[in-house]
Order: sequence, then C-alpha cells, then structure tokens
Amino acid sequence: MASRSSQKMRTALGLALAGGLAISLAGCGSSAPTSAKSTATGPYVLGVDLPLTGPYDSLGVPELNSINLAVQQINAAGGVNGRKLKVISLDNGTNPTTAGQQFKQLVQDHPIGLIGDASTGSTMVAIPIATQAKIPLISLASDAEIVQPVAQRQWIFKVPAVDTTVMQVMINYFKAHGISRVAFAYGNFPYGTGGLADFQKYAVPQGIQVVGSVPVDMTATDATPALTALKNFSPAPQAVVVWDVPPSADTIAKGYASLGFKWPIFFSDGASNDVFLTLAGNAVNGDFVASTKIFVASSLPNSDPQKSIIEKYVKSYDQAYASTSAGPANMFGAFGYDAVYMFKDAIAAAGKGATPASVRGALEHLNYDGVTGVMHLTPQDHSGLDPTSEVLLQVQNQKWTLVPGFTGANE
Amino acid sequence: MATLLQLVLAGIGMGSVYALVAIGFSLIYKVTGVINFAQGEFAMIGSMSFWLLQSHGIPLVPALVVAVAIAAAVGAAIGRFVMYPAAQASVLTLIFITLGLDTALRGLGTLVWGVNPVAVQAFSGNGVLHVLGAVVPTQNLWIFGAVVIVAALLYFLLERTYFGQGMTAAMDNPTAARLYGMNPLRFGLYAWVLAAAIGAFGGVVFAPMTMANTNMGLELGLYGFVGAILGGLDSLPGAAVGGIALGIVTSLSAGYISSDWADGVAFAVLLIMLLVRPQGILGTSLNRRV
Amino acid sequence: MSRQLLGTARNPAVQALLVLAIPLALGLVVGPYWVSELTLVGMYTLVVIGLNLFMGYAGQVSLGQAGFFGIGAYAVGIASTHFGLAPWIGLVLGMVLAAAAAWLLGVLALHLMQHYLALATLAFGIIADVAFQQLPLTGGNSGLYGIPAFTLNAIGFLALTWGAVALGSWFTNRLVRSGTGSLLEAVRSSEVATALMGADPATVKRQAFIVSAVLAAAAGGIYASWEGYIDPTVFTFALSINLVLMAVVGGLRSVVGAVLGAAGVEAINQILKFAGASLAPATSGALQLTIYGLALVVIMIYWPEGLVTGLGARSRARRTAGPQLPLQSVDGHERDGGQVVDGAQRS
Repeated sequence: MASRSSQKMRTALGLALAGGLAISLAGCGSSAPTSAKSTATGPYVLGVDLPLTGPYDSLGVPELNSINLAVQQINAAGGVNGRKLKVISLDNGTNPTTAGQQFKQLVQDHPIGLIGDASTGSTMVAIPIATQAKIPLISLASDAEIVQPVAQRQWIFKVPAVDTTVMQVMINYFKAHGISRVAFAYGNFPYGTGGLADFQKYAVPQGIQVVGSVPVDMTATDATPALTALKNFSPAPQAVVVWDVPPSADTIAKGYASLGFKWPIFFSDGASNDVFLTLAGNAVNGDFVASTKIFVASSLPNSDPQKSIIEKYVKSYDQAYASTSAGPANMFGAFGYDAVYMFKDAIAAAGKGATPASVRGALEHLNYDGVTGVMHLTPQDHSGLDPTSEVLLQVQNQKWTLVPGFTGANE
Repeated sequence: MATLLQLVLAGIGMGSVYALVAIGFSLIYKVTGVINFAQGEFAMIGSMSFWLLQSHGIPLVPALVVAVAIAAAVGAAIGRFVMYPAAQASVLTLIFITLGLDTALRGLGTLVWGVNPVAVQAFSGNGVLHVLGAVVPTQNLWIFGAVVIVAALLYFLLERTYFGQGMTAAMDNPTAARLYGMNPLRFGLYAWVLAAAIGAFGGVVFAPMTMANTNMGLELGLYGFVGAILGGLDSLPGAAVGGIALGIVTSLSAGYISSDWADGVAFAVLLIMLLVRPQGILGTSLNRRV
Repeated sequence: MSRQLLGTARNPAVQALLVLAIPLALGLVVGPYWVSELTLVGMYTLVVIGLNLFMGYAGQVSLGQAGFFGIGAYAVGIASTHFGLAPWIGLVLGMVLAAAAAWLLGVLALHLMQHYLALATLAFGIIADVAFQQLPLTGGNSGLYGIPAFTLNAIGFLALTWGAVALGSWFTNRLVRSGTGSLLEAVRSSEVATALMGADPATVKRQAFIVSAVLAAAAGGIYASWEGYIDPTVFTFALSINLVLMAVVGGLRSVVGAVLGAAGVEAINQILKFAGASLAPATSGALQLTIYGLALVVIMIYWPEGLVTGLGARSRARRTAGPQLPLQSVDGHERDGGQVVDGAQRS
C-alpha cells in the first residue's frame, strides 16, 4: 500500500483539484475572470487568439509581440477617442478546437474587435463565431477564402496578401524572362496545398505551365528524397516555385542546393523571414522570395508611403524583442501590428460611440498605410491590399535585396 | 538507378537518427519495461543545447559533450525523481507518465529556447559527396558514424565491463538480479541516463541536417519508436537496424510515391510488422515482459 | 440509508439521467461560453466512456481513438457538404464505418498482447489521419467548411451531446453488468482463465473495441456538425493521447470517472490558462504545457487509479477496515457490479 507521505500527497492533490474545479465552475455563473467590458469609459478591448505553442508558434509569438507593441505605442500617444486599448490574448496551441473555444470565450469579454488566427484552419473555425457575435475579426492568415465570398464574410477582414498577389510577382518575372514551364514544390499543409491549387487556377491561364509538383512533409528533415522527382519531370522546368514556410522551406532550399539543381527557385512570402536565411545558410544565396517590403525599406524611394512606417516598426520591434527568443522583426509580426492599427483607425473613424458594428462599417471603408502594405478596403474587398505592396527579393550574401520592377500588380 | 541510390542514401542518413532514438527506447524498455514516449525529447534537448553552446562560440567537442551531459542530467532527474516514486506503478501507468513527461519537456524546452527553429553549423562544412551520381551531405557521414560509435560503445559497456554485466543481468532476468542483491531501480536509473545521453547525441549530430526546434521531439520520438518495434523492441542491434530500415522506407515512399503518404507508409509498415512478426526483425521473446 | 442512496446512484438508468440532467441544468444557468465548454467536455466524455470500457474492463489501451473520432466527423462532413445529406445520416454512417474499421482492426490485431495492441491502434490512428489528409473527398489539408448543424442551437447541442453520453453510459453500464461484463473482467485478469471459461478472449475484446469505436465516431460526428469545420490537424496523435489521459486521470471502470476525467483535464487547462494569462502572458503557452505535463506525471504517480477510483478506494478502505481486494482477482461474479465497491460491500 501507499506510504503515509504519498497518502498526504494524494489528499493535497485531491484538495487542489477539487478547488480548481470549484473555481472553474464558479467562473461559470458569473462572467469569465478575464472580463473587462468595453464600457463607455474603460479601455477598448481587443480579443486576440494566436498559436503561441505548437507548430505555428514561430508565427504566433512575433504576432502577439507586435500586437502588444502597437497597443503600447497607441496608448502612450493617448489612446483612441481618449480611451486606451487593452489586449486579452489566449494561446490555442495550433489547435483548431482550442481556437474555437477561445474565440467563444473572447467574445464574452465584449471586445470591440478580434484578431486571429495565424492559420487558415483556426480562422475558419472563428468565422461563424465572430459572425454570430457580430464582432469584426481581422485574420492574420493568408487564404483567400477567409474573406470570400464576402456576403458570407461580413464581419471578417484580413491583413496578409492573398496567394494570387504573391504569385503575380513571380509571374511578372517569368514573363519578363521568357519562363513558361515551372515545377511546384510545396509544404504538405493548408498553406502549401492551397498555394498549389491557386497557382494552377491562376498562373496557367497566364501561360505558365506546371510540369510537375512535389509535396514535402512539414516535419521532414531531409527534402532530397522528395526533390529527387524534379530530375524526372518532362518537359524539364525552367524555374521552381516553392510554397512553404521555414523550417521546411529551408529543408527544401538545402535539399535543392545539395542536389545541384541550377534552375532559379522562387519562394512564396511564407519564406519572408530572417529565420529562412539563418537556417539554410549559404544554400539560399541566389534564391528569390516574393514578399512584403519589410526587409528592404532602406532601398525604397522616400516617396514610398510605407518607408517610414516600416522603419519605425522594425526599429521599435527590434528594440523591444530582437534579443528575445522570437528574434528580430519579420513579416508575420507585422501582420499583428497592422491589425491593431487598422482597428485603431476604424475605431477613430467610428467616433466616440464606437461599437463593434460601427467599427466593422468603418473597416469596410478604411484606407490604411501599413507595414504589410497600402490597403484600400471596400465593402466588396475585405483584404484590400494594394498589389504593388508585394515585391520580389533576392538573397545575396545571405542578405535581402530588392529586385526592382516586379510587384504583385497584374500588368 | 541513380534515383534509387539517392533515396537509399538519404534514407540511411535519416534512419541513423531514428536508430539512435530507437536504441534509447530499447534500452529503457529492456531494463525497466517502460515504453518511453518522451525519448524524442532527449534528442530535442541535445539539439537545442548544442545550438545554444555553439552560438556562444564554444567549439564542437566541448559543446557536444556538454549538450549530451545536460540531457543525461535530465534523464537522471527523471530516473530518480519520477521513476523511483513510481516504482510500483503498472506498465500502463508508466506509459502515461512518459506521455506527461513528453509534454512537460516540450513546454520546458520552449521556455528555455524559444519558439524559432535554429540553424546549427555542420561539423565539417556544408559540403557534399558524389557517389555514383547520388549526392550525400557530409553531415550524413557523421550521423552514420554516430550510430556505429554508439553501437560499439554500448557493446563494450554491456559485454566487457562488470557494470555492464550487471546491467545485462538486470535486463535478462530482473527477478534473479534482485535475488543477487542488485537493485533494479538503480539499473533503471542508469538506463534512463544512458538512453538520454544516446538520444541527445543523436540530436546533436542530427541538428545541422534539420532545422532544430523545440517541437521536434514528439515526431522524432514516434519514428524512433517505430524503428525500435520494427527491429524488435527487446534487441539493441535490432533497434539500430529497425531505425535505419525505417529511414530507407520513408525515403523511398517520399521519392516514389509522395511525401503525402510517407507517414502513412511508415505506420502501415509498423502495422504489418506487428501482425506478421510482432517480435520485430531481430527481437526474440515476444511475451516475456507482458 | 446512505448505502441505499449509493445503490440507487449506481443504477444505470439513474446514472444516465443524472448525466443528462446535471450538465443541462448547468447549461441553463451559465453563459454561452461555458455552454460550449460543457458541450465539448460532453463529446470527450462520450469517447472516454468507450475507452473506459476497453481499458478499464478489457484491460487494453487504444492510442488511436482520434482515428475513430475523425471517421465520425468526416462521415458527417462529407455526407452533408458533398452529397447534401442530413447530418443525422452522416452520423449513423460514421458509426457504422467506425464499427467496421474497429472490427477489421480487431480481427487483425486483438490477439496481440497489451503493448503491441496499443501500438497497432497508434498506427491505425496515424494512418487514419494521413487518409483524412489525402483522400479525395476530405478537402485535404484545407478541411471541410460549412458543415450544417443539426438544426440545433447551443443548448440543443448541449442536450444532444449529453443525451448521447447518457445513452452511452447506460449502454456500457448494462453491458458490464451482463455476462459480457464478467467476460471482459476475466479477460483483463487473465486471458488463459477466460479461455478456460469457454470464451474466446479476442472476441470479447473485439466487442469492447467496437463499442468504443462507435462511441468515438458518434462524438466525432456531433463535433463536426457543432464546430462546422474540420481539418486533419484536429484528429492527431495528440488528441488520442489526450483522450487516453482523460480516461486515466478520471479513473477507469466508472462513468463518473469518465465525466470527471474529461472535465478535470479541461479544468486543469482552463485554470492554467487563466493563471498563465494573468501572470506571464508572453510565455503562458509554454508554461501551461510544462505545468500540465508535470501535473499529469504527479497524478499518475500518486493516483495511478485515477481520481474517482483513488478517492473511492480510500473511503472504502476506511469503511471496511480490511485489506483491499486485490485488483487482479479473477472472480468475475463477485465484482459483476463493475466496481470493486460491490464486492467490498457484500463482505
């Protein structure tokens, strides 16, 4: 039988667990403990749900950092309509079920707006919840179906560029360089498979032939087995397009380099992250990445409205967080930063009596210059990102350089 | 032909890592009867510690030794502070305990090393070897070498030292070992330390090949585990063979079928093996532990 | 008097009614978020009841229950989004499919001993998840969106879920009190003894396995319709582990244990989340993982029989002031009540 000390231990545990259950049940009756209503004088509450652990944590953590940074900046400057912003953030562990529960919970706190998720899946779970609660949601995920069809997405907005804008950057380059046959490699998760589906719908009509496609497992540690297939594609490709995020984008870059392929290789904006450079080392030199302008602000002309905004964001982010484990500023973090400023502008436009409904209305007519890009939202377009905000970068000496002349605009 | 060779060589590289994880599995299983679902986390600890040391400019060998030592210390702590109080627990309870440990170690890893994947420099540059038209990164040689070194050291330790003979006795017949005054708990502790060290060693040599991150442990553990079963859970050489075989199988299915199905194929092989030859390639007695 | 009460509380019909009534009553007084939380706990409980039967009575472990949960969810999702069928039809189809899959896996693998059987179910769960990712109708990685609800509101779902739990608990309770129960019990204790009783242990185990699969599929079907969206990241190995841990934490061989396990694990996570969010928001996620993992370890070390059985064992020990019945007793009849308590009471 158990010793006496372990008996005591059991009793203590029992008490602790019973107490815990009691607390959480007590929470049932009244409103949730995090409750901080957007009352007439209190702060405006933004409900944030992101993956701070699990496979998407390298997106969620810089996003949350940037959200907090933007809120600090706004509050330090006096807030909006004389009121402060307040963030309630939860971690969903990259799990759609948890995300669903947490959005339902956040809605209880009467937020003026919701931000999340970094992944399309968890955003899809959040859409009916935000719609039913009539609270505007700004998603940080990329799929076009998040904001389309707009009749069913009245309360949903998003920051990142849709896939097709990123593709257009590459297609413009292909057209200028006489490339008409490409191979497509993609991460085997929604971002990658969605990229392939969209590329076939969008690029093929523009005269780009996909000679073959290769999935790479998100957790694969060596992509050479999968990439070996590129050798056997017929007709041979003239370029390779990759739809993936680090670390598996790096696995592809490394495998591609070690197999000695010489076709130019183009990565989607998922690779637009300093982590992509540090992980793959020399293997990424010469690779192209379609991206926002975040890494090349210094190369932009002074007339570019984003130049000063990006420089301010990168500087303040790096000051606060570069030394943390999340690393220096990147594109994903900027999504969170922009989402907060979009809400700020919309709340200001909605005026003193701003409600979630009036903020939604204001978002539908928002013109906003952000780190991610210049946005013109309309009731028909809840993304509204100006396609010229996406540009083509090339990695040289493990640094980002701008390849001038190619944007996401369909010329 | 060149494609086949390429796939097999890549598979041996990955498989060697699975083999190191699998050896740790088998070691703990043989000595304590525990299926340790946290085994992959030792490789994670090895990789991440090594990266941190290397990024502070510590040279290869000391960094490797310290990283392995850190993981061994974690293994010792588990062996002493978790497995001692749980000594009377059933085999199933012990499995659940290791599942909890896996979660805790992953969380702890994230607290210590953060969320980003990290780059680790290869031991001897980013070079590649060309073998009959196939390409092998030089780091793969290090990984394969690590398996050979571990196998040789384990053989020496278990067969040629007094300590090892006691350990072997504890593995082969725990009851008899107890009668001879050997404390099976003590040997369980040694098994945890050794398994942690071997797993971490695998993590260190593997780190330059992959993008090490704190979420890598569970997947690596699962694969190492499948390798251990394929080879025969109660056989150390079997674990090594099973791990490498698993690497080749996944590589071939990624190359010839599609990465989409690679996980499916790996676990289908496991299922078939369980149905046809549950004791594994080199395993012997099936029901001794149960 | 209290014994009578206890006896009444152990009546399957009474238990089933309580299982339906208590969450519903709670659901009517708490806010919508907690209704949703109670509904989710109900779905997990339904799976855990099945696991309880398979693990607690047949003494086997399934590490692939997420696969059956997924089969139920995808049956509802595919039937409704691709073929325009009512979710009810998908729900039934899913349960039938899961039963078939469990039967097949059972025929192939249930003769294996404990460890190896657990691994076979693990392999099944992972293969199922790969299939959800790759089969033509599942929507691949992007999943299925817009799965219709059973024309139910939140409270309706709560009632449906816990109604299913009540039904499941009534059914399994009846089962373990019948001849099958004694056989299951015997299998858990000794397969050789079972064979001597003239029953095939594999058949008995297979029946328990099929029941657990059907319950998991039912829960999955309800989940798909309730959440409206499914993708392969829901039905991972991690979910299988969580479900098993819920079963173990609550305590095997008891409906109360299943409810308490599912609720308890969710409660631990809720508490950690609130504590983490207020104490250290930046690292709350990682902190939560760490403490959750350690909590499981501690519970397993000091309370290996789970919360309910652990507490029960202590009060029992005090009542009878005698030595505890050895858990591995082979006598199926004395414990046909399904709980050790019965045996102790009669002594």
